[in-house]
Amino acid sequence: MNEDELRAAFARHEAEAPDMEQLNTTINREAARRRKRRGTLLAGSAAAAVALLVGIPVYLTGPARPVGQNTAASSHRATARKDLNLLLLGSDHRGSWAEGEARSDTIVIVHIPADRRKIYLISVNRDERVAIPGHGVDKINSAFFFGVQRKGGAQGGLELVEETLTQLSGITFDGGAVLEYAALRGITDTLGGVPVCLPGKVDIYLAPNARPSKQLPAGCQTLHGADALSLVRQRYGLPYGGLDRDRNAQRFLLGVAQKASELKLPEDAATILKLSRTDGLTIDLPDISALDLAGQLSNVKAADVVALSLTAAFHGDRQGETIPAEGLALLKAVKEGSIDAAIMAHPDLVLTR
Amino acid sequence: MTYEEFARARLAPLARYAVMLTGDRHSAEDLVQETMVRAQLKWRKVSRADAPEQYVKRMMVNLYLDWQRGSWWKRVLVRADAGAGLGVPDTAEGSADRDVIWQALSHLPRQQRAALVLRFYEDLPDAEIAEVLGCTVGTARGYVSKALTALRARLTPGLIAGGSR
Repeated sequence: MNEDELRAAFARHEAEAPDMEQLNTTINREAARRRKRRGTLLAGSAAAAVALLVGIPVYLTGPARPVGQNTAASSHRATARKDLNLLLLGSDHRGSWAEGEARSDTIVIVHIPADRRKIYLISVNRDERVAIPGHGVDKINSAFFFGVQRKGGAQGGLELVEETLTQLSGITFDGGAVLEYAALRGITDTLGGVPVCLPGKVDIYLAPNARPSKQLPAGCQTLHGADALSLVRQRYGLPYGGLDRDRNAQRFLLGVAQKASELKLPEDAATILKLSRTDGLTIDLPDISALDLAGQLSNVKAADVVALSLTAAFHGDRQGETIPAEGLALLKAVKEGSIDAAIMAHPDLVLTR
Repeated sequence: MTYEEFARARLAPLARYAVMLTGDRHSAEDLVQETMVRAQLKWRKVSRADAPEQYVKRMMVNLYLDWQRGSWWKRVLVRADAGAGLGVPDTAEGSADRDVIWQALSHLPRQQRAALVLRFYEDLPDAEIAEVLGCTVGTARGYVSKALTALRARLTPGLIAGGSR
């Protein structure tokens, strides 16, 4: 056999190519079917408030282990199908932990009921005054600071905020993540921007009485890293300051959920790897398989992610805020697995999109 | 270029290319369908490539190489929709003596067959073959030469068929 015979053999069999018209029809029909399915999947992995901050890194790095030395706090956490509560913290920390100057200005409880039909994001205003174990009554954002001091690192901060919220509400946590604001910028850029819809324009101020350095317009837009960071940090100039900031953080999380859920393996493996290596992201997910969780959440759609706050208005003074009765009722409902009823009683706690 | 324009111009050559890789019409149908469905779904990315057709061919080779490893075909089962194509006689039946080469090709490992298709059907230089297969130029050359040796062994009377696999 010479090479020309081989060429001839290939050429002879060209005629076996399938019928083009039929092929084209089948391809288009299948692509349409998958596009449709992809639409639901995309929404379906709204797990991604979890999936991004928690799932993806765990998926890539294997069994999760607490970042800090202390694992005792994890040992009581159960793995059975029950309500799941995770804690997401955004920290204003920059640079070395040794400096200890870090508070958590964004505090979100992620509540996933046992039936796995919805995901609730519950923002806790950082100014709420609560009893912090070992530190008396103080603003809740300092719990993170005290925890960092006590045990060092983000893990310590996360644990003390968990303990604080557990003491306040009885809610126990199954895991959590700490996101330094710098990480948020990296994640946003890695995702190629994050979509948000703002109900009104947001002026970006760098200090309370400075002139705004930039303005984000009202309406739906895709934010890139620097603007996303500005948005979730911005409280000056908003009608409800820190409360509005929490709302914007929720809008951002919903956008992240959407973008992260569009990622697919293997095409996006490099992106996912990059996300998992984002500087400033600390994950503590001791007993949960993120993949299992993602599977359990596969029927959750974007509309099934409900963002809530503990309060719709200010209830405090210069010393700090007090969680109103409806906020406490909401926490109690999270603990008792009756959150829908609590929301019906106070629909104004729900983020309007 | 829209996907539709691309498909109109390129579906036929791609389908022929799939026949060369798989060796039979039905597998080729599956392969070209799966490739084009994926190309359509990520068309924006494909159309941004320097050479969209090369890009799609690379997708196809990768799917072909993954055929058993990744088992995409188990999940997809596009073929269930395409029943009308079944039962067309293989042209080899009428020309068995000439088609011993075609038969022999079916015994090659996938990489080797793909390398031969790229070399002798697509007429690509070694460097491009290596790029498509995701290996070094040396490895690509190795695939081609091993494949030729194996084919010759199989086509030479007196040698034990399959001994070179």
